[in-house]
Amino acid sequence: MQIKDSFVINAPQEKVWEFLFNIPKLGECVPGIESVKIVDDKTYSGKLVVKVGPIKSEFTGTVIMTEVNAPNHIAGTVEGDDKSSASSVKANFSGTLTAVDGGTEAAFQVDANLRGRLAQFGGPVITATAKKLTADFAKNLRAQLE
Amino acid sequence: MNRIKFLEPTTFSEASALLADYGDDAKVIAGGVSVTLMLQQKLIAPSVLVSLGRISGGDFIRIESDELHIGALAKLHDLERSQIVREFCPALTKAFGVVGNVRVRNQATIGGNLSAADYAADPPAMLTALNARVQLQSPEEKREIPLSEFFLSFYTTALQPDEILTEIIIPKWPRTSYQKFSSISAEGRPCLAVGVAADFDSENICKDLRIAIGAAVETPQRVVEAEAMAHASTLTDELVAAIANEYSLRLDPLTDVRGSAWYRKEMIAVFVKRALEEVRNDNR
Repeated sequence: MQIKDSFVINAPQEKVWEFLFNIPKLGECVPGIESVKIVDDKTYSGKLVVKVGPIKSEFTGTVIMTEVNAPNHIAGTVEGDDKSSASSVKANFSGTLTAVDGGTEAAFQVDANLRGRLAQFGGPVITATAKKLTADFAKNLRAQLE
Repeated sequence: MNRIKFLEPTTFSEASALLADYGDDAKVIAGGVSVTLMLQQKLIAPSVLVSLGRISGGDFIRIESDELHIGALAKLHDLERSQIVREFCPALTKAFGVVGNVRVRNQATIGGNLSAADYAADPPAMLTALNARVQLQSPEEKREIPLSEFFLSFYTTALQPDEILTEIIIPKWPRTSYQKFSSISAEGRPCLAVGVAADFDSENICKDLRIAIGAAVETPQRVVEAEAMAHASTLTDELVAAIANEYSLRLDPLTDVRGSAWYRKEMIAVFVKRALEEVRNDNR
């Protein structure tokens, strides 16, 4: 399943880039993040709570950065699982920052593989949830950077 | 294995007070169709179930000041067989009668069907077309909102954690149509649901028209610009086709096992047209 989205922040590219690597601050902007831990300079672990209607899932997992090209491109992998619904997710992601008129455009692409009971929800529910989380994330980023 | 506490209040306000007490740990169960499925698949793990099964009188079907009032605990099968519903709105009888199969309808309540907010369902589109309203009960008060404000997103409604849907109120419409399209014959869920409610004058000129699309979109949707095209007009074949195309063009359907976005767009044009032809030709 592919998720693609982008948003614009009214802040200079360097400032946005710098913020993306301030992990504790960044964690505060991700909706549903309950904890983040820096394992090493390329590895982070954390816990994410996502609610869709009556269903609440708690994913614990790890993010590994595989490419970091300052100040415009990152790529990496995410692995996580939700014990209560016996579901797991594996994803590759990449993101780019581009200077645009009035600020910085952040674009990203996620190629995710969801297994387990949550997967029966199917694509539309998951992509809609991802879109909502992205919109909230963008809003939080703006509040911090603009 | 953790035990689930099963509570059986006898009134709606008592039930919603229990929800307020237990908060996130509690879930409401009526017919149990969607709750049992989610429990079985371990998608939810409540420690308390608040059953509405002991609440008496919550399953009424009656006409009051020219509107149909349905208690949230009415079973879909009782609604499907109700002479009151059939005389009030035949399309509604049809929409209730095509949900799942008879064993599901014997168990499922209309309140549960709406509160589950499953997008692949029949009643929401028809009830939205009819401009239905819902009554929500919290421990302190009852409020009434239009159904169009009830569905927020996938599986998500305007119900507060301590609120319970108690009643559905449906205005009278002279002509109605419900069209269900299933792409997978082995299951009861619609790929597309089209509900139409309309009013015509004695010359068969359209005075009012509401078309709601369900199952192909996250929550039931109308295209008011397309509905307005019918206003004060005779529904000629050309106009019917134009409205149907406008619906197909303006909606952004979802892709799932029952069909792709492109396929659903094509089907929206086909089934909106059929529904409009049905209300136009129903010239009694």
